[in-house]
Amino acid sequence: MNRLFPSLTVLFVSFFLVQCAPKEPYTDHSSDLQNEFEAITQILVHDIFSPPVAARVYAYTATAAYEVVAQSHPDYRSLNGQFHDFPAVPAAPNATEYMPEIAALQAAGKVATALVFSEDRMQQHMDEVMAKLVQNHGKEAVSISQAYGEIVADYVLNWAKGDHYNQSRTFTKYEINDDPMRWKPTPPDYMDGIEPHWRNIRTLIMDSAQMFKPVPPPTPSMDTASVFYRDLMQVYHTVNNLDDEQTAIAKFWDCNPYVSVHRGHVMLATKKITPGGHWIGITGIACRKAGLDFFRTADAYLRASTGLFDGFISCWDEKYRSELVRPETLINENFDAQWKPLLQTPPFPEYTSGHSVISGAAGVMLSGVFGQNFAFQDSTERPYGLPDRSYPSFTAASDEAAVSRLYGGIHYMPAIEIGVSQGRSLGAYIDTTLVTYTGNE
Amino acid sequence: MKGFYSLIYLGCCTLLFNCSSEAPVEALFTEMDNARTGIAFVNELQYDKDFNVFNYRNFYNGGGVAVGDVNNDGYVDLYFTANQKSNRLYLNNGDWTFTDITEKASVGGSQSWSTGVAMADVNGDGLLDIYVSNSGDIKGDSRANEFFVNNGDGTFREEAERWGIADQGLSTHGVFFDYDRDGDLDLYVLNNSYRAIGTFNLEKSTREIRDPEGGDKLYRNDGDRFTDVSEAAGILGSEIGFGLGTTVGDVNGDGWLDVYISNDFFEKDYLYINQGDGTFKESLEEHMRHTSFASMGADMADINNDAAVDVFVTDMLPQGVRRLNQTTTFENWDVYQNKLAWGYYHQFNRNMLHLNTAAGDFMEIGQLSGVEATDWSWGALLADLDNDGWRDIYISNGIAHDLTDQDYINYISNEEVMRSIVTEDGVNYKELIDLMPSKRIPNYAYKNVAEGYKFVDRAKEWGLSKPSHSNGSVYADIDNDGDLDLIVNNVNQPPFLWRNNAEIIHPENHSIQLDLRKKGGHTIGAKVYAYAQGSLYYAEHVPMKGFQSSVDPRIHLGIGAHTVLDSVVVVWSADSRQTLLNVAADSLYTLQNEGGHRASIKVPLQEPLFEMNATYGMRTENSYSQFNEERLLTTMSTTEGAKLALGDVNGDGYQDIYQCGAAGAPGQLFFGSDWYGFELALQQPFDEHAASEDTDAAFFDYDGDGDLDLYVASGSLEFTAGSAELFDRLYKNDGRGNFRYDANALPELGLPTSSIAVADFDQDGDLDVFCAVRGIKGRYGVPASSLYLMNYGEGMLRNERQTTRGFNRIGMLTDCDAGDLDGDGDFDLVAVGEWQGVRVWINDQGAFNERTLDMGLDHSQGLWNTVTLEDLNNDGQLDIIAGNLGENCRLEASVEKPMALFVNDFDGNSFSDPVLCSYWGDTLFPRVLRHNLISQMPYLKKSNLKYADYAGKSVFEVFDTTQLERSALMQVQTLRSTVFFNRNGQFEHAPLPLRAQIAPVYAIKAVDVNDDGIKDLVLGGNLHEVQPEWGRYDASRGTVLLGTANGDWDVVETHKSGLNLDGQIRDIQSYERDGASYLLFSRLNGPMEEYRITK
Repeated sequence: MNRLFPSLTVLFVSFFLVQCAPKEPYTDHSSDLQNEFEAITQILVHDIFSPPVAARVYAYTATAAYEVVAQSHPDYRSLNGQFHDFPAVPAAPNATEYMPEIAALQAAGKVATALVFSEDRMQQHMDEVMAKLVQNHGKEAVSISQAYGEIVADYVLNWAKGDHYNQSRTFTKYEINDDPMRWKPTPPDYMDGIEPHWRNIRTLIMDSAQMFKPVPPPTPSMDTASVFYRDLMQVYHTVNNLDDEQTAIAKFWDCNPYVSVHRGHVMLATKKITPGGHWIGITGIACRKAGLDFFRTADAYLRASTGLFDGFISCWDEKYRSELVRPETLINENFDAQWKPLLQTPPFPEYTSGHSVISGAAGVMLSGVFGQNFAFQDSTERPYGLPDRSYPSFTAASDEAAVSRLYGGIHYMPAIEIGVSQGRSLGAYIDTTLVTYTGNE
Repeated sequence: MKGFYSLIYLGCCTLLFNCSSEAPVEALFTEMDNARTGIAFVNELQYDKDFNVFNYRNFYNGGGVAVGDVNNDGYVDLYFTANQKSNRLYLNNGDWTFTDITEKASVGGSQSWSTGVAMADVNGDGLLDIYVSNSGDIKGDSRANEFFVNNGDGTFREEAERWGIADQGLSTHGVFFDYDRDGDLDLYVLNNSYRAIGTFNLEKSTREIRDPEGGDKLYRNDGDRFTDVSEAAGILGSEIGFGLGTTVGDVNGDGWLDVYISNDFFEKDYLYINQGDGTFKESLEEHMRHTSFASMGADMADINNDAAVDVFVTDMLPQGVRRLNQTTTFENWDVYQNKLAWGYYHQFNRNMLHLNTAAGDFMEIGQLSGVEATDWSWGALLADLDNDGWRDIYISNGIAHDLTDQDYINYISNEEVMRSIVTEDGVNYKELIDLMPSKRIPNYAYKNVAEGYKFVDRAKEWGLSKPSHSNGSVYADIDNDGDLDLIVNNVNQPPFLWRNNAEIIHPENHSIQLDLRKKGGHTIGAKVYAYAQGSLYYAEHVPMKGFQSSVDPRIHLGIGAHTVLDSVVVVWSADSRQTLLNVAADSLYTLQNEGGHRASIKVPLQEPLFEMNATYGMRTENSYSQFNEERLLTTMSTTEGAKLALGDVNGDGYQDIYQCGAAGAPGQLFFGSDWYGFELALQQPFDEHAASEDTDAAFFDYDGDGDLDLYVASGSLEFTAGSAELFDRLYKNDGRGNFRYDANALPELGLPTSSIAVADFDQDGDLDVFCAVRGIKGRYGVPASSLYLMNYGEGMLRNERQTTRGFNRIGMLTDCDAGDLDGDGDFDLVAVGEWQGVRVWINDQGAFNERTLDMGLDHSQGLWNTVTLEDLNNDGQLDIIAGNLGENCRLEASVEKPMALFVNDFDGNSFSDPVLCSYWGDTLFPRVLRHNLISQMPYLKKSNLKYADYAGKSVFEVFDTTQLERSALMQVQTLRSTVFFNRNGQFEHAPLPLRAQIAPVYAIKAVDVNDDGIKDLVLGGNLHEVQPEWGRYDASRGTVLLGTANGDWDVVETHKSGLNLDGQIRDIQSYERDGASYLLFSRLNGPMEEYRITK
């Protein structure tokens, strides 16, 4: 009888729910949104999205969720007039059953489904969520809200079409030449440079990709007296003398979505979240810890992902301007042919460090939402078997993310330091320029 | 010498026995039941979490087979190696039963993992010894090679240590041969690297650094012991040697045995040319233009009966579409260019058939002959399986787990597994392997159907198509009935014994076999020449070959319908030979070498048709990657310059030459003279237009002042339309050969001209120009308009729109020519191009009307590079000679099953997407790999998330039908270079012989080479700028076709023509100087070469 009892309860409850709206409906839709972003992260990993392209999925998904909120709640300002070319979307329905949470979840889900490749997996997640919401709020509320979510999603997707993403698939590939100081593909698989034209993607808030153009890197030189050479040797010696903590830091922030592993005669790809995915994970953790309601949660995702999106454009603009060679290439060519960095060198130019730029930007954006000294425990890497790490603030976390690239042996120090400041500058600009929540803290 | 051989007539009792006891044979081969033969051996493999393909790279390489008569009873016996179990020796009872004598003979081996095996009489006692290679054991205390010396009483003693050949490396195979011709057998041991793949830094090749632990070794036999002489002999033995095949033969015919080493993975193969002084010189790049990438087993034997050994090397390319899409990736252009720069040479993923020019140089014709794709292949055997006188190719293949399944690599979604790999915790590899797909596939048996130039897979018809994972394989005449049976070692499946029924299926064919013996010595390296009524059959005696195996040591020669050989010449060694006359077929001859007189066998030298005379200039093509711009392109079109213009520009009676320059380098004018041939003309105005890529040039008098001016066409799709680099140029001659740029002569159109045709088309007394346009930059497949420049007199040529109407959007033209095709006295036009037919426009009073279809030129769509008009058959009518891509290419095209190119903006991003398709079976498939397609059109990833989703889809399943219907569709119906004979205005298609289809033809010269009054053809070509997926087209060394009275062509092989051209030929000119005739060849990189015609 014990075993039967719970299912009877479920039957009874669902019967009750279908019949009439519950008195105290399930309200934790904030975690629904967090779960939706986690589902997207898993799909992006599975589908092998590169870091800039993954940031695009996060940003447009968050945009859809947030715009529903903005259209539904007076304390939130629309993105129309704020994001470049962002359209005026129709107002939210004026029906009592309408629930902006459901509409936002639906809008985000539809945009994500359109942008990822494993549509079925995203659809399956959405079906489960919506089934639960039907149970809680009734069919009527869900279908009215869903319908509006769809409308907003269509506006967002239509707007997304104008960002040059599709055109840039056919743009010319990165061209290699003989210049020893210019970036070239790296071991073990010598993959092509990814996204050489990402600067052509429409920014969200920044005026242009060049708005936060960093100073050029130290002049590349193998002159032992040069600054550049000193930085190169720093990478070499640091990696050769890593302590356990440094190793742990490097691995924690690796965030390489595609690492090829050769074992015996077999080649495998191990896949992880992207740097942007890591910060989306942190956003979810912070929302949970701060107990933000659904609307503030949607706002947090929007602000974080806007920083990531423009951050990648700014960073990639510089990468394919300076086209700086990776430390692995120079070390192998000049003094240690067999040297390998701790982390696999990712397939794009060195300067500035992508993780540094976007971590700097995300740190500023999240500090804006949660405060300067918001301590948290970062469990994002648990699925990959890595232990949690704790940080007193987003700034501290972004500092660690940045320096991890030195320990990993894939960046020189200037790319890290200047990268962080590039990210923080653009983060600060976006934080002031982008107005979303106008209510009281 | 007659008395020194004995004759065994093949008993018909064997034959009777076979016929009476079994069902009638239906196929060439019958699988022998292992329950009856008594062969219980199985190479069973067990992987577990500690020992598997993840930590031992060569886990699935399988075992080998050795054949030889160890007890001298007249029947060859079999030795199988097993990886994890005991090796087995079976005595042949002569009736297709065998007796396992492993235990009694003590030859099972005691090491943990055996690989290759060789049988040879190493100590010269008349008894075959067995050398087993061992590997696998990672710790290293159980993998020394073993040497079983035959005691002659059915027992063997293991003496590897005592002989100094207990090699400790990860050995694949050992091959015995006499490299220093001192009369004893030396040993080459092929060792595979210890180091894990993926730990190498490719930029710094360590090829020259000997691996102290392993590396290939050459052991010199010093009588009672072997000495490691690897280093002194020039043998490479580095950590990057992933040797899977050692193949020995005399590739350059100098009497010294050379060695071909197949290297797996990124390292290039080696071709060691024996220097005759105890050393070898690794000279692969001097003799071969490219090799297979993951080179595996190989064989060396004569497949075209020209008495020179050819080389066949296996790789892993699957046939067809589905498995190719599922399991294969290719390097991209940039990685290929890098690896070239780092010294890994040209390597492509497919089997290679290297045809020996008989001068030690090779032409790779694997795709022409149809043997390039046999999946994951190990054994390669060149042997005449049906006794028709031409060697066939048998390939054993299969891998127990599909290690390269792309979905496996990209989507093993097991999170636990991923985590354990990432964290480097202990991974349970067994679980990972259990997830890998596994598929048994049939082996291949290719019948030689066109004298070595074409093979057809007959595995099914011959009864050899049972699916398996097969490794080492051998041929042997198990039942002494004059044909070759096949024995194949399989993984986790009993070995195959296939009995050959040639004596029943092909009673019209015959063979002979030779058992070469020498008292107190060996006969390896002996050569056999058998002659019968103008036919020649050739063999070299080196039985260790294929993959990890050792074939029947008796030489077998299929001789077709001949029942008697006029003579058989056995060249025992450099100083000893023997001739047998009137040798009856269907017999085994045991020949004893008793020493003897000095031998010198040389095919009598004919005077070659051509003799190299001089070289001029030094052209260098600029580097440019069109692939960066257009991802779906398979070949570049930016290297088609290097054309020549010929004429006497200074009136001294000698022909002068202008050679087109590459982008960034000016063209060059050479003055002809009597003594010096050609001399560079200085102070010419070409430097100012150096930025342009010259694509064609012609000397003609455009301004009517009586001297030859120079028109230079500018082209190449590396320049944007309208740019100054694309302006064609006219240089005015002052009558003494001094040229001056005439800026007003031509309109500034800025189109990529590919070729010009100059004639007085409108018959007004001055010369007009037709300009063929190559295409539109960045828009492959989109047709471009060509144009007509009318000469208005006074040195002005202008674009004549009225006349040009017929040339609007006609396509990607590569070449054109003008001549009177319809015999009405005016100049008509012929033009060819990529995805174009051979098209003709008839001149009707200055208006051009296309008459391609009316004149019988339908079904001529090809990938044409060049066209020439010439009256080949002296009937007073101009014939068309057109150079195509040729058939040494992975794709096939016919009128019924054309190649197709759909051009459309499929993803709506305002860029055109050209999708290459071809038929496999009856279905039209996109021939673009999934990841290349989705990187151009990401939306396709949704419907093709996994490789398996895409692998078997036709183009109609990948793309929306309405989209395809709205696409521009272009076709290729023939890849063959062809002559179109003009039969009173109807053109008859006459494809050139197979031999002329080995490479793309870019230059054609019709000239009477042998002075018989009939025009002959000299062709040049090759194209190197090809995506590695398809591999560069480089087989041509210049083709010479002699015209015959009945309109056919006699092919002159390279060693007889004297023409041996390197590189990519783009033009050929002929002229006379001081009574002698010459041909001048112009190529992209390097000097022009002038050959004198000797007749």
